[in-house]
Amino acid sequence: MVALGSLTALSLRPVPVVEEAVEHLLAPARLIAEVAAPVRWLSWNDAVEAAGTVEREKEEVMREARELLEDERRAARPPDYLIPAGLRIVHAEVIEHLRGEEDSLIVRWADSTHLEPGIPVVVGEHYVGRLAEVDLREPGRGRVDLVTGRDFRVGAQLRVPGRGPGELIVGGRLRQRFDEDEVGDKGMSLAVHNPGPWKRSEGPVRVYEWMGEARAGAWADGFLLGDLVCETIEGGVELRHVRHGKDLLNGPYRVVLLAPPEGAGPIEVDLEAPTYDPACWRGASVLTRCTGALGRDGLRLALSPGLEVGPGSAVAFGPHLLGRVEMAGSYTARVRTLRDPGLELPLLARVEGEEHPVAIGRVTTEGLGPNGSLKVRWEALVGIGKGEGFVDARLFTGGGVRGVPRGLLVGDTKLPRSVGEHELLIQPGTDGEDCQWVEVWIGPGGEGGR
Amino acid sequence: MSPSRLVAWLIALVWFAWAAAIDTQLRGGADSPGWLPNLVIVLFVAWAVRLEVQHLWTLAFLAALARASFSVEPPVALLAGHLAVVMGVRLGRKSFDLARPLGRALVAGAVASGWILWAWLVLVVRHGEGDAPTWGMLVTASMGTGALTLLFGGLFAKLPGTGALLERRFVG
Repeated sequence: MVALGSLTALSLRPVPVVEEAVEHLLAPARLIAEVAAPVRWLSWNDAVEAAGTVEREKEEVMREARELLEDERRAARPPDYLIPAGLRIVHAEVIEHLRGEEDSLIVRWADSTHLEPGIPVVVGEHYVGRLAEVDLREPGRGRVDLVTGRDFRVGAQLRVPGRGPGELIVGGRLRQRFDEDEVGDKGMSLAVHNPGPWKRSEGPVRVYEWMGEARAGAWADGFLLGDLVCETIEGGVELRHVRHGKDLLNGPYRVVLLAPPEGAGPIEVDLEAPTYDPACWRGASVLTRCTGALGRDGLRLALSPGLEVGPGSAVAFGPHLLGRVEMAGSYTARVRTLRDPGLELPLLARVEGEEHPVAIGRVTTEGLGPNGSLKVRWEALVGIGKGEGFVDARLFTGGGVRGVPRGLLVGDTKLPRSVGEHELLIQPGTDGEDCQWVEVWIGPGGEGGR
Repeated sequence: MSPSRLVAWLIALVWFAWAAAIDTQLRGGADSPGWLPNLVIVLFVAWAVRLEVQHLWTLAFLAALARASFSVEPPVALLAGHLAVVMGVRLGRKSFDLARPLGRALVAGAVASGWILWAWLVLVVRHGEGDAPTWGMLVTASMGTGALTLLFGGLFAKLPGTGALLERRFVG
């Protein structure tokens, strides 16, 4: 009875150490899955055909993904007129959104570049936050505090034509009810802490560190915080807030840090996405497809002895994302595919008619939809472009989730342009049902996808 | 444990593995019908109602191990599920002869629907996602698994190589 109670508790409230230990104890599972291999041989011809199809389209998809990532890099680069003279721009990718700390990002930049905390972080002309901490154990990694943080404050300026600039203090995400009926034009809004006596109630708000911030703070002067919005809320109170143009809670996947010059070093420090670097992947054979009650879907992979694979690592079939590792043991790994309900994915979209890629943010899978499509739930905090309705989009993996590299193909969909919670139907690039050989992400330097 | 019984357990594990593999293969498609019997449950119940009570824990462990090789559900949840079934069967066997066709069919049917509910609970609690199973889904799953156990449960319990499992030891 005690054993049953403990197992029930562990089933519902997983303890990672125990889960990992159990997975290691289940090493014989590999042998058991091999015992039933003849069942898998029944679909051998389909597997060969699926591998052939993926191989034929691989180059084309990889080219498309690389173009997308290059466009994303261009979109993240601030315009020259906003970069203070003499500063370096250091490109970085978001590698993790810390759970429970939604107002922080873990970013990675070229590890040979030395940075100091306090420098501004931007995306294009948008101000995002400050580098709060540099990881001393892992060069080229640090934590960014976003402008949405509860205690974050930044000096700002509202340009009023014909009058002096209105000075503001902005910072912290304005929490508001976000249900279907009230969505309207709301979304990612920042709180304004000193609305000022001026009457103007709209216009672009830009960073202006008028409170005497440190030197590094002023480097962000001129970057856009968003549009000032004035609305009357319950009780007739007039509320001013700044609507940020980026969904900072889910995106962005790529940022730029403004840093002081470093000797004769380059003025722009780039960072390549390692997505299609073969050294970041390890092959694994599919022991068996795993299913479960309620349409659950996964794979069990055979791992080479000694191969370290982190939970959450991406599993790909050619350039297609198939799923993520749920737990890896000594010789096998359990994978949840995109068909499995409850899987979180960061997505980046190539949207028809949009110049730059759109960071969709994290979506959650809901299982299979009609005609082999995948159902996913998406909460959009920032709309796409102008107008209403739906727009064709091709979805790739975005960043901000450990173990999932940017630029793997997920599928095609029609994206709603509006803010709010949506259910998307994604037509996957491949269903992966018949694949018998996949690749598992181990990351740059083989760090086990961590 | 005698060598013949040890071999019988290993063969039982292979049978469980095959049942789980066939289950997986049949349920792989998007439109797999809900009445498809759960072969692991049929096999598990067929043995659980006949084996000596002290061996039921081993049976639960082997069934969970085999299913874990073919299931996306966490192994601890699979083990918890099988242990719960064993406890239920032990309790039931005190009052009823569950080895009779109708008895084992009812047990298998209940386990099939209970299994869906347990899987749903684990999914929702762990990942915050998953549609609740409908009554129709539970009833069809029970009927399919129950019917197969009713008709072939006896045969399943006597699969080749597993005869030693059903041998009883008598204390003189």
